[in-house]
Amino acid sequence: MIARTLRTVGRQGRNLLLPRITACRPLHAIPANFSKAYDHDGKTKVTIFNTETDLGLMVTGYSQYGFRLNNDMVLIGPISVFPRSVLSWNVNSFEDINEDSLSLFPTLEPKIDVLIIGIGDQAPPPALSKRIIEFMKKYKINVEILRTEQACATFNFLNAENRMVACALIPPLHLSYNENDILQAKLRKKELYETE
Amino acid sequence: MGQVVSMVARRANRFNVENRAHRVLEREKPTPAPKFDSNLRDMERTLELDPKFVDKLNMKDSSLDGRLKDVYVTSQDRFIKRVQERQAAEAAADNVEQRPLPLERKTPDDFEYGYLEPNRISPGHCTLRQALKFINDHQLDPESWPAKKIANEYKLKEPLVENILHYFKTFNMYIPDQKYKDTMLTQATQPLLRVKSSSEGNP
Repeated sequence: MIARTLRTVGRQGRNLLLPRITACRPLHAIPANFSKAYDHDGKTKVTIFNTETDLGLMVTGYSQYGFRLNNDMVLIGPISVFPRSVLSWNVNSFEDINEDSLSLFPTLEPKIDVLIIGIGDQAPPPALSKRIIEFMKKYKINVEILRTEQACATFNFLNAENRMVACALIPPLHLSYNENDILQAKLRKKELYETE
Repeated sequence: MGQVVSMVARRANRFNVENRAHRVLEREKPTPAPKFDSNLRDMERTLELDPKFVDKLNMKDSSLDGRLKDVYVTSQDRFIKRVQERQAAEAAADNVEQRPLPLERKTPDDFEYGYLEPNRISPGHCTLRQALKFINDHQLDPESWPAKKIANEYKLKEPLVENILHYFKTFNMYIPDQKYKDTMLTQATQPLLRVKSSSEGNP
């Protein structure tokens, strides 16, 4: 399953209606390079995060083995992502998340704005959330404990907003897919009209 | 009956009032206002002391007039220099204040790690750059960079450094061979949406 992040932004794009005309240039020779769509103030624009690398590292997709970033790097195993760098995280499952395995995040200076922890494909148990939040409360660090899919999306949004955000992700054990994923898979293999 | 009397009196007082007013205004010298009793007493006392006081007021005093003629103003170069220096300073200040435009026009670069790194780091903490460096050093050469040396170098506690080195590691780079395609790494590749540029629109 590919986790994509879209954002619709209404921007004040100010464009000239006609290109600049020189004295020796006839009118009918103007190159027609604009579309019929509305192209003035109040135009709605869409920015796709994962296709741009200047906003920092973002998680494009995940699987049972690891994660894919927006610079097309595939990382195997649990990872910890920062706005511009990434490290491997040596844990087996969410049960290994404790004060020792999270010891790097309180040590960093400047202080992390938000720490996002993706624990896999199941909902975070209340006992785990309580334990981690109480530990991080000593260091006054905000923590979000989510499923891996939600953690990826949250990290992408916060990183695009230029925050000092750190994310610790564990690949999910089980993947659920819907009709759109089946459609995409068949399109990829060019078996759209075949039945199983 | 009181109202009737006052009404008759007011009408009698207003008889031909406009003409009487004009006659008073047309006099060359108007009648002076009456003086206070205290002013009258002061004038009497002055006349007793000096009977010719009124004549003195109407004549010019030659000695006082001569004193006024003795007063004149001169100018020195030092004052003029001071004025010129002040004007030059004001002009320079105006010149500086009237240039609010920026002196550089290039866009500032983004931070290398996505945030502004501090100049002074408190003991017990380290920046992300430092953390990546000592994790990488320890992973490449564990004998030269043991946890104890890293703890001393970066002013961290040794158990903390051991935990960091155990749980956080750098990745090994693996570039798949083009002939032998590693399906586990490449089968998930999928074309992403691209933002269409405005120049590709239909005319």
